[in-house]
Amino acid sequence: MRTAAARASAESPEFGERFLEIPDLFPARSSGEPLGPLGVSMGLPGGPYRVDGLGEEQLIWLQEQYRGLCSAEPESDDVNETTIRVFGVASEDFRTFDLAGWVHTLDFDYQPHQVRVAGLNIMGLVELVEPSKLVASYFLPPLEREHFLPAFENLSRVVVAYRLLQTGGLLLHSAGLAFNGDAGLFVGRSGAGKSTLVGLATGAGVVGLSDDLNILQRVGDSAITQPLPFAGDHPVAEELLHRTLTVPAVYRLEQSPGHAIIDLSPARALATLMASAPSVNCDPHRAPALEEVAESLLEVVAVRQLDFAKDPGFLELAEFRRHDQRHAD
Amino acid sequence: MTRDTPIDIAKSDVFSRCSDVRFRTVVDEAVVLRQEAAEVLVLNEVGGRILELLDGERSVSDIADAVSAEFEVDESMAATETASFIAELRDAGIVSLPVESSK
Repeated sequence: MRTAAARASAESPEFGERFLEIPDLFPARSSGEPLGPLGVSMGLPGGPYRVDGLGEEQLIWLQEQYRGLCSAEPESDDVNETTIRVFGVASEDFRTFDLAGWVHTLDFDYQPHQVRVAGLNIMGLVELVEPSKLVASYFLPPLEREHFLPAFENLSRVVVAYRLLQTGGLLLHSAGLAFNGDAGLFVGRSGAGKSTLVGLATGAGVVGLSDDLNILQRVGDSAITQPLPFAGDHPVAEELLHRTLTVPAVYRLEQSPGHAIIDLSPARALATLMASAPSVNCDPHRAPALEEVAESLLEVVAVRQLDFAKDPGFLELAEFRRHDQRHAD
Repeated sequence: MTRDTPIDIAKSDVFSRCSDVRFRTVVDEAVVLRQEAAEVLVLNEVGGRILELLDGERSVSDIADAVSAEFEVDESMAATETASFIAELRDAGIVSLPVESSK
């Protein structure tokens, strides 16, 4: 079996082959043995989310990690509540390999009504039951806290991305800064300076949001963000997690000797949003929805280019000064 | 449209867009989504038109003729520039030759 799998991998990698001993045994449906009988409601963007099938330990870990976002309230009456079911699987289902220098990646298998996800010690099934309903299943081996929480977060990032797309929003690979009641989101390819920008801005007294993932959602005639607990290297202050901030603009970072803001053409603005939406922008079945949501967002948010010299001077641009309470009278 | 290597495609080659590629025209540019790589590119009006014409039926020569006619470009320049651009699209994984017509 392994020989056949290795041969297949050399020719064209099959879904799950890197992570699973027998990819064909990936659970076909949302069923199995729960880790335990407990559940928790989570106030993640695009929610409400209900997580069921937890054992006592996992419940405590989630409550510690996501603090004020967790509540023990029973399942809500909201028919569109997103359900996450957690099932236990055997450790032997997963391949073991040397993790030295390894970067977390996931395998995806995109189907019209579901998405399968496989990664290090995780299998996930995201079922898009209806246009506005999502049910997810996490299949996890017995894990200690230090491995359970990253596994839960990695799958939840995918779930939030799909849920937001259903509700007219995008999960953007971006850095975020909170100004005076507003937020700016900064997207760009790896190395463009997202983490540097947040570090410089927070050093200058600006409130930082995530330097990794932020949401952008349309509410009426505005675009808003709600800080995520998936914060990258800059954890978001807990008091910010429940706030909603208006997003007047998204900025595409380009390294440059000086600071400047440049308008983008409608096509480049659309491309910027689509390129920054992880998971869903690789899904051929969700491409029309991605285009539709991105175009809708562009009606209420500006997308501009920020030439960024990797120093705090960008905060002196008029675009940011007018939103920054450090300069308020 | 500058390349470091010679253009290695023939006038008779018939390219088509790869299956993971979606594109749409927005005002006078084309937004190209290449899903396997999660890449999104923007092409100018001429580039977008060339990509639209790469439908698996027209040859490189046919497309160069169309570019020359539609954008009022000298035929020789249109042939060179079109072939160069198609080679770039091929190198970027956006278009490919069907197996039976590849050299």
